[in-house]
Amino acid sequence: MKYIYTILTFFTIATTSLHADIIMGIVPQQSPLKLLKVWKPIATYLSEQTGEKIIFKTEKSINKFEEVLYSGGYDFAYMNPYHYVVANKKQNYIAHVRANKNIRGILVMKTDSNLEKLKDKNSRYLFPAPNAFAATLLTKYDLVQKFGVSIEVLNNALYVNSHDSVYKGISRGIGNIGGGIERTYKNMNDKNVKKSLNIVHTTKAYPSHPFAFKPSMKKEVRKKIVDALLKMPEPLLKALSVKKLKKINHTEYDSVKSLAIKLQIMPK
Amino acid sequence: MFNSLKSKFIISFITIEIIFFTLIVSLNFNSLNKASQTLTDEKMHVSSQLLIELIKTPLITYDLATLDDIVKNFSNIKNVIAIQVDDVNDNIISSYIKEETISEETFKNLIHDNTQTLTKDRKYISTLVEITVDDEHLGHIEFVFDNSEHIKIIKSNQNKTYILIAIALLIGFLISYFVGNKLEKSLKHLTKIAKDVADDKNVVIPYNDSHKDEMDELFYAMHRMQKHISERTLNLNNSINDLQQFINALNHSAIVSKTDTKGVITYVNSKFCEVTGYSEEELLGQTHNILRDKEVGDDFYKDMWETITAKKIFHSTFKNIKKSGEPYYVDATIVPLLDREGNVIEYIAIRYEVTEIIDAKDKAIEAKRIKENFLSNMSHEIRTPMNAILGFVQILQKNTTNKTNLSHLKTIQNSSESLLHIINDILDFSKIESGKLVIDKHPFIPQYEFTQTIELFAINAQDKSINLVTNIDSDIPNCFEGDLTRIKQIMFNFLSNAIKFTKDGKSIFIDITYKTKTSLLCISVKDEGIGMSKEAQSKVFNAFEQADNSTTRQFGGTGLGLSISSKLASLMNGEITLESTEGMGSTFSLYIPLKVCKLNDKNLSLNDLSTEDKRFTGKVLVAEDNKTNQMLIKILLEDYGVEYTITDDGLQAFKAFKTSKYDMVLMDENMPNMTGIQTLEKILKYEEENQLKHTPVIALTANVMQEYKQRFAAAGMDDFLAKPINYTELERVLERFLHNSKI
Repeated sequence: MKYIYTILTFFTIATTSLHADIIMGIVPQQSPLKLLKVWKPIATYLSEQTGEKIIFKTEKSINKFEEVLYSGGYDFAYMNPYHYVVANKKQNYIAHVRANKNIRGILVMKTDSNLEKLKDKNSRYLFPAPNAFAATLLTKYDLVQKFGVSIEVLNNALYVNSHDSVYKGISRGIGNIGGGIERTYKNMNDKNVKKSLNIVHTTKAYPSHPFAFKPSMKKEVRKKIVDALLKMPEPLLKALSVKKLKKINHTEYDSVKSLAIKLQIMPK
Repeated sequence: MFNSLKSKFIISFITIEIIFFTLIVSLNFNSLNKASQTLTDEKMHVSSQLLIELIKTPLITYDLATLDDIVKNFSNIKNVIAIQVDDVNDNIISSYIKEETISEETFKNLIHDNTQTLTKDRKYISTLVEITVDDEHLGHIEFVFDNSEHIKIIKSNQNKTYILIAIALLIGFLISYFVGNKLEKSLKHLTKIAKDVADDKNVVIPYNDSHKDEMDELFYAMHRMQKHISERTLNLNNSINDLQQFINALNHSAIVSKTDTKGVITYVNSKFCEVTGYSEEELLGQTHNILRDKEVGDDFYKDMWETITAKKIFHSTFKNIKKSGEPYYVDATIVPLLDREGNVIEYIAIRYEVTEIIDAKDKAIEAKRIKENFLSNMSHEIRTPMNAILGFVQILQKNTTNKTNLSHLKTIQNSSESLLHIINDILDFSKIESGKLVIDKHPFIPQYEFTQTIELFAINAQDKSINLVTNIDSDIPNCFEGDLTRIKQIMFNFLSNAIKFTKDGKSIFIDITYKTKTSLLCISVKDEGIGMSKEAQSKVFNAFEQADNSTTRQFGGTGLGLSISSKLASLMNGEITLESTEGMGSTFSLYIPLKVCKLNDKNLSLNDLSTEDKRFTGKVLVAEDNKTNQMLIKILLEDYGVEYTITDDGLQAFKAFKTSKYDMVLMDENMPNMTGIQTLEKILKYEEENQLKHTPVIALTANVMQEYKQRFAAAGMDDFLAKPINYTELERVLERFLHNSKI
């Protein structure tokens, strides 16, 4: 109960402090509570390191996050690669830091199920959000390319807001096939859920989620943040299921951009 | 064991405590349970509503991660131990169980039964709440609420309450034991004190003036009570002692006995035995009849019993008979003794032997009777010849013209009257002494009567060349009501003394006045006689005393005159005063209150007092044994022109009465064969038997004592004539009963 109140309070504070402080937006791929647990200490760390007041902000849904991001609502943000290529296009966000690993989408099914279900017209697909890069876009791409299943044709997809909800939904029989990513699946704490699932397909690797900065941010500030991110202590990295963060060139995401074009989801 | 006050006190105290504690606790526990139940219900309701609001969105979107987080966070709410969210198809889409509290199986059972489960010390309540949005059913939540804490609190409260009650009971017991012990100790102490006081032992009651509590007050009250009892006992003992001394004194002086309500003797003192001659054993159990003189009538004892049974004191003189048969007299007071309700329980009789007094009294009465008889006889015996002497002197005076003889006759008359006067004085004195002299009031005309009286002394005064200066107040009323005879007797005494002690050529002043305001008649006689010394004045009204012995020798007289006058004045509510200077003379004044009356037909008139010769017609029967008196009466009646028959005794008189008709009978009393009263009785009986008109019978006797007059009147005599016969009186009687025929 205490946490629920804290979350509600947080949203209010974040909204009122929008113009005064540096807003760090985080894609809501997990439940807000989980995000808060992971990202609040990081925001505090960054504030201490940079001397700037950095505020953690997330949204109720990925859609809302996209809406805010694409309108330049965050000073810098942690987002998925698809979000980045769109945000780069729309608001010129530039990626400077990402985890020292690549991202792969996965398809999960219950252990007692089989691949035949993939093509079953009655099968229900669970995805976190329509534009979740690895969990939705990569997996949808592979389903079409490799299994000949068009989700849009089946019209049987359910967007359940987060990766954990996808895994739990499959585990508890809400859907039959779910789209996720390796990292979130690995970080899944619910052993009962995990035990009941199998990864039935893994996509090709793509660069992982970047920290992209708004071009209007002062260079020295951005630098301080980037440096702090690169020097982030291990416990915080561990919470992110990341071994190390590294500095990158934004061209790394061209592959993502081309994939978006292929999927016809790149905004004009 | 439970009879002691202490036990009763403790048991009562504890019982009341238990009853009240039980009531309070049951009410308290009941309220607590209800409050707890209400609180739990409200808590569960609020929680479920909050949870529903939170999970609606994730439920719709199947955001199970968020749903799980909410459910998990919700489970952090205190006392919520398990939650399950089912979708519209009753699929379990989220659940959380605090495994440390209940097992999954228990949870499932709870959800399945949808009831409450009680374990040894825990109570789980499961509830199911439907989730709807705009009437669309989305699913339901079921969660289990652990009410154990409330139960624990209630149980803890109960346990604490029980402990407190136990402590309260223990304290109550200890207090009541302590108080009861103190109370019992104090009461035992008080009981012992009360017993000791009852046993009349000397007890010191401890008390505290400060009155810390009621027990102190009780001890103080006991102390005061004991003090009062001691004082009362002392007073009682003193009273008993006094009473005992009274009883001793009474026993030594009085004859005391007690009887029960039936008159049976229950106590006699030694004096009783000593006087009666009976022993105590002989008297106890008997009634006083053992002593009764049979001559005493039943009425006396009836009166006695009526008085004492009415709870009144009876006092009288009893004549009783001793064991020896000898009579004795007691002056007895019989007092009824009453109980608290006022009922008679016994009688006490206190008697004093008065045999000697009674004997003396009897002797005195007898002596008096003898004296009176003697006086009566003497009076009778002297009057009878005096009657003849005076009567015949008057007859001789009428028939004699020789001056010397007339002078001798006058001397005889004076001497006789003087002798008669002496006899009358002696009789009056005797009557006054015995209280038999009666004041006889009649209307009279004072002016006339007083003048007549004074005129009687005119000749004597003239003989001694004494001036009688009379001043009768002209304002004196025409008629007074009083005893003229006695007033005249006093005047007579004054005047005769004045003439007796006034020397020749001197004057006597008679002054008669009447004061209307005070209704006092004053008759004052002032002489210019020898006068009296102060010492003589103080003795002059004493009987048988004159101013000095030489007076008697020089002037004669019995010395009774002024004493009689003084006593007569007292009997008429008046008094006599004396002013005297030795050698200068004396003034005697009579003051008597007299009522003024009016002259009418019934009263005397001056005509009635006419002194002219009177004659009467009628026939008179005379019963008289004395020949001389017979002759005198004969002459008198002939003078009045009356017919008569003389008889020698009553027997002859009665015979004459039967054979002839008479207008009047003059009856002597002391006659041979038949007394006057016996003859009267015969006449009255005869008249009654023959239905004859009553013939007046007039007593004519020398028995002039008042008791004789009363006896005659009682016997039926119509009038009374005293011997020696007074002309006026005879005329009055003849006028009353015969026809008056003037010459």
